[in-house]
Amino acid sequence: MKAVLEAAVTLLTVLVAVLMAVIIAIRIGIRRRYRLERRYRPGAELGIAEYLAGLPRVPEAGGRSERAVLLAVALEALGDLRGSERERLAELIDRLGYTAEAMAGLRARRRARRRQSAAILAAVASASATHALTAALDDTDPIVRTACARTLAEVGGADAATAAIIAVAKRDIRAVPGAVAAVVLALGIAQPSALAPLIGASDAPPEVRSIAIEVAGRLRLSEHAKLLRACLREQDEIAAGAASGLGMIGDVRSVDALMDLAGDDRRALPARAAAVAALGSIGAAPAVPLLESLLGADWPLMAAAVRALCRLGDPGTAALRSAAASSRPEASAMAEAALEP
Amino acid sequence: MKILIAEDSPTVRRVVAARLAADGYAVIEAADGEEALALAQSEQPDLLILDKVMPKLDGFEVVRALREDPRTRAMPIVMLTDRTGEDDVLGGLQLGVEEYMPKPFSPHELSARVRRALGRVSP
Repeated sequence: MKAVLEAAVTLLTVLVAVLMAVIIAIRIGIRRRYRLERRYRPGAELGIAEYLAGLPRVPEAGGRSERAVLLAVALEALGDLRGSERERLAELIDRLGYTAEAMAGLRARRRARRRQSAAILAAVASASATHALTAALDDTDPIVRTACARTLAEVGGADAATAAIIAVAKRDIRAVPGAVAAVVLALGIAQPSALAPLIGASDAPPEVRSIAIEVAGRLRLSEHAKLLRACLREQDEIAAGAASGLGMIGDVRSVDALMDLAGDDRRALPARAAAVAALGSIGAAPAVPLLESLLGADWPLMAAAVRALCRLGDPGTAALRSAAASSRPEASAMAEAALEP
Repeated sequence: MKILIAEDSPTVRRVVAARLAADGYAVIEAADGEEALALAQSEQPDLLILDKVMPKLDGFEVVRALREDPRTRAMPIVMLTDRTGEDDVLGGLQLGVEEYMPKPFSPHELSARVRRALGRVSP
């Protein structure tokens, strides 16, 4: 028994000693990095600033630490810049070999290195990295895959890359939904037509379709209005997103379909309320009688109908006046409040 | 002409300073709101480039203090900030900021806006 206790105490002592050694090593490492950063940072900042101001001197970095600090400063500046200076800085990062290093880093064994490399390439967004980024869409890590997909979407490229980006969005939506939303947004900005397979594909997860639908609406991509109209007949969540999108686009050809959805009492309230709001955004005067009839409906629908009528000019105002004078207390109060200047 | 740059990111500060120095301006730098206010009052620069979010004293507080001081009331101010919401822009313009420049920004464009703001006060 005593021997067992002694062994346990020895083991514990060794563990504590190892733990302390690890903590000390980490602290030394952090202090060293901090010291090196303080030493090299001012020079790196000045070098990059003067280079961007047009001085002929190109910033240089000798050792590994100095290079790392120069890259950190360059990436920081890249985030705050746009226009020709941003392009110049991205070119400089390329010329100093950082892009090539990051491309090689995408094939590293360590996941942290691959993530860091993907983040560097995302910041630089260099077209020269397209091949390496496309290859990394098959990475085992969803963060690396989505970071590379987003960069590829921003840079643009071949149809094959677009198909692979969409495949990543479908695959990773549940693991990293925020990152996939960024991928879909980037795709919508750089290649709006590429959203079509996500909006219309019934085999895609509903979460990624919802994002694509929202992006199409917020970016007012009228080329997708027909697909969004078709989505109004689908499950309520998809239909609600599509209705909002059509409202943001202001698609007058969707008025009938939106009125069908708004008036269908078999559909969920959020989908109907979204259709009502869209009718108001579009300025659909023919919807006034329907909206007026909804002033006696459930509260969310009634509130949406009041807001929509406010946006429909004289016919909407007349309907609100009539509701204000009615004997339905809730509708009357809401309409009165809406009519107040 | 002398320009004061108040910006807590040293990288952005140096980029802007180098651009304006290349344009021929004398540049002084402040890393926080308090330093910006003190330098604006003591150095009397011809123009102030000011970040909205800064340590010690917010950019809008700096503008308010400068507008209350007769020595700095007319000093043109260019806000350079990533706060670009309607409230922020309107708040800045109501306080008397000449230009509101959102980040990410183009130093060339900033330089043009600085020229324009200086031209308004000394044509």
